[in-house]
Amino acid sequence: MSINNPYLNLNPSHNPSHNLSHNLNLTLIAALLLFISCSDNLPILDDLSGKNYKLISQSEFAFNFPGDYKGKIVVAGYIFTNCPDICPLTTNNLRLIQEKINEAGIKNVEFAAISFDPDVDKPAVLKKYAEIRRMDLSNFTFFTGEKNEIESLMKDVGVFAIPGDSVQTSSGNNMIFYIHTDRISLIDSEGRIRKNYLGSQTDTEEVAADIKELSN
Amino acid sequence: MKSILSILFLSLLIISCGKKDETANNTIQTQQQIEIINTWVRVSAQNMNTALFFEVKNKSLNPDTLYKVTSDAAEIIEIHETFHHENGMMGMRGIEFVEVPAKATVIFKPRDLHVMFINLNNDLMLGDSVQAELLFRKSGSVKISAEVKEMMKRE
Ligand SMILES: [Cu+2]
Repeated sequence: MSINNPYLNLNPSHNPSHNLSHNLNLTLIAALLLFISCSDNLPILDDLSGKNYKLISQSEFAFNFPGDYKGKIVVAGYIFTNCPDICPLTTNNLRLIQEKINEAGIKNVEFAAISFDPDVDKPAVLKKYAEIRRMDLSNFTFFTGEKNEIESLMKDVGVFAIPGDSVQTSSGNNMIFYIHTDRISLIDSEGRIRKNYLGSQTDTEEVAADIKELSN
Repeated sequence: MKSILSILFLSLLIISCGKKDETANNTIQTQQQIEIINTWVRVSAQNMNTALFFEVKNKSLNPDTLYKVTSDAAEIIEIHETFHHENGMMGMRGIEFVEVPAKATVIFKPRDLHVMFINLNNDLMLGDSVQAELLFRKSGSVKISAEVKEMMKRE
């Protein structure tokens, strides 16, 4: 190896023009790396593909989540029906995303609102909740399930719900208001969580764009 | 004698006029100190819960306090606020009252202050309306009618 080897410029000040091209190469590599990392806007946050939570829909059909959704992109929100302020916003945001996706003619996308209050949210309650809101249930399902199934699902997706205030109704019901994670998740066709959004204030355009990116 | 009588008459006139003015002023004040606008209530079903939203405009030079809301629409009615908890969690809790400062507006809106209707007596469907009475410490009762909506607007 000689000091004249143009690829081994030990003293850059000897060859300023070569130094410039060397810097350019580095800049190109850096830009390429940056481009690769930016295009990966939807990293895998959590893999649920190995899990199969046994859920029950508002029309009482049994469902394995997310296994039975395999091959479909899923937008999932987490709610309880006694919640008057945050959860209706989350449900409505799911509906707004559903409308955008249906209007754009994108198939293969399903919407799910999963209750973390299975003691109260029996299928009939979820059905009523959907009906009063005139939800389009063609690709939208409300889910509940056995308490232990719901608990492990919520734990795995990182949704917390702790009992807060409660009221006693005249019928003797003790109604609990949960303090809970405010979330909508985007799950890819392989059952992997790719992005989480604030459920009650989701930017519906952002989710629609992310769904388009995943479906490409 | 004649002049004394006319003075008496004049002063009576002044007194009665003054009194009349005062009463009129009071009436106007209690009716218009508090104005409730943009009232709406969210769609919900019988035996479930919902929230009532509105803006309270206090036009007077004194603060006032909303301390109670009544309505035939639900079994229990409470004034609530939504709050942020650790780890991005959200909750809500009852509050005793809401003070409306002088010459100010307090807004009850989603993710914030709301009047919680617990255990609804009937389905509240789009286009229905709900009657309620807001009770203020100084201004007394203000009756409102709130339209049932899904959202105030698309957000
Ligand atoms: Cu509340």
